[in-house]
Amino acid sequence: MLSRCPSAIMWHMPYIKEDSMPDTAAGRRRSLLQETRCQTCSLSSLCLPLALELEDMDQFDAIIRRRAPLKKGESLFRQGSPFTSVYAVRSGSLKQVTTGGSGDDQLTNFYLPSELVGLDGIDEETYPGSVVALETTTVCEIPFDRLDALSAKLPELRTQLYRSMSKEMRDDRRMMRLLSRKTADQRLATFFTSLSDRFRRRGYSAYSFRLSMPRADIGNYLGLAVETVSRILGRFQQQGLVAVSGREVHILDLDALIEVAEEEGCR
Amino acid sequence: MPVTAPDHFGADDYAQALAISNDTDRPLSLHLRLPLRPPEATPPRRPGGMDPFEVDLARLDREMVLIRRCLSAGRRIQALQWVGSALPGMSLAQMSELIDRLEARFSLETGRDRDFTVELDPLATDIFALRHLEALGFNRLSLVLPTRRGRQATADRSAAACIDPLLDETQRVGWRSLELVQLIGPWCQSRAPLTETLIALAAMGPPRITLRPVACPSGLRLRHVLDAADALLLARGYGVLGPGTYARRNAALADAHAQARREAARDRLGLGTGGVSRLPDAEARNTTNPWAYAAALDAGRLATASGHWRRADAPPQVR
Repeated sequence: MLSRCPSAIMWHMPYIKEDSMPDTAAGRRRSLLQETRCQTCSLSSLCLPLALELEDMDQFDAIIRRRAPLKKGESLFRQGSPFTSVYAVRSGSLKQVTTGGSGDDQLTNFYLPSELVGLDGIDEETYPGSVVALETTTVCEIPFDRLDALSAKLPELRTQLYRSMSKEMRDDRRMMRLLSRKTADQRLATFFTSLSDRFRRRGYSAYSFRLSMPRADIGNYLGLAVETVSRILGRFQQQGLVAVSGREVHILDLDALIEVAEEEGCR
Repeated sequence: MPVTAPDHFGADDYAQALAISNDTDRPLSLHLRLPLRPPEATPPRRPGGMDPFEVDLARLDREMVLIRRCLSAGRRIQALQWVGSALPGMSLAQMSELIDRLEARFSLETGRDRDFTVELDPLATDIFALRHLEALGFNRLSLVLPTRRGRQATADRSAAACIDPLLDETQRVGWRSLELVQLIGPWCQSRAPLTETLIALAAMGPPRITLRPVACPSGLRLRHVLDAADALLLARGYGVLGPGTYARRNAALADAHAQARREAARDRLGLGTGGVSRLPDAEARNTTNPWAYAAALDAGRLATASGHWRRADAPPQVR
């Protein structure tokens, strides 16, 4: 999803300690690219270290485990597995799928860079849904026991953690409202305006982006059949709201799209 | 009283009446029945042959073309009534295709004053189909409840389990109206099952309830049934719109009256088998025989089987 951003190259690289790299030009370049620390990460202003001082950031950095990139379709963790860590998305995107008692899958979240994955496992100490990479994705693993201990020492970190949880609760409320009150057109318009806003906050274009998820996933997330998603996309294009080519989305009239998303009352 | 005998009114008369209706330039109300025939009369799909739905849609499209030719360009479809409980076996893509054909042939109203009604079998639909239909522009829903046979408490509960989510969706998302249509037949001759059914219907609290007679024994018996229904539903907060049709005495009743006033100001075009058209100067009815309907359309003619001119100074008979 974010592969056009130069800094994404760095996010896709696994973390390797500097002193383990050969002293060659190529090695130094790789070392530079692969050293992914919170201080140098372009997402730190959106992620947990947001309010930390430099020395505190080092302490935070020390508890983070940089994992190898997940391939498309690979699970970060599965529903019901023991909760051990939360994860910050560095690049790519993931989806959360919750399987109900009758075996039906419900897509319950999409995660973009800087967003925290796994906070909903704290309470019952198991992950309530499986989280799967939608494309090549890198994450920072933050063991929760160490995060908990560190946040007791660093109030700014604790505050930021609370803010992340609060944001997740707020997003859930928005999603409940969307699923309970919005028409199909409003749902899709809300989805696009929300994505646009999330990309804008990360410094990317609010008007042009690539969907990493197929239409079936979008439909599942929004409670719509895939045919309905396609139908409404066609209508939005006719109305000059968006232009869609494959998974490339260009928002042509963001204000009008927001207006559709926020329409009230019956049609 | 009809000015002309019904059997002397044919396709050319209907075409002429359509052309004359352009003078008053009233908005249009399109009533269509699809599928064009009951499931038992639908031929199985032959290997390599066209899907029966595609065949029906092609004929319906031909009928639309023939009607459109008679109408002036500016006339818009303000109301659409799709009956036939068409959903069983019909894909969402096919529903889209139907609307695409209608949009290609007519100018469909998109404003809030449109009255686009779809009639569904609640046991054969789901929330995704309902959301798709809403996305296609439908804003009024009729759910036709299965005919009750004797005491069927289990079947009633299962029907309610299907209806409740649809009822909930229409109210939350803001469909303009929801009507529960109860088919009434011989089973309602004894008072107890009828009362039980009406109480169950009213308990669901739909904005509208309609009792639609099918194979009722006699007009007198039907009158008794409707009188009993009037008394019971009036006591439960419904107002009477007409024989066997009720709306809750709140915004739903006002909405139903407003819709009826709008409908009275429109010219009705009936498409499909048995389609009834009502124009200022004439009424026309398509054949109810699916094979006769197909034969007429395949020959490039409208499938008008009967009708009459309403005016004494009606144009001379075409045939």
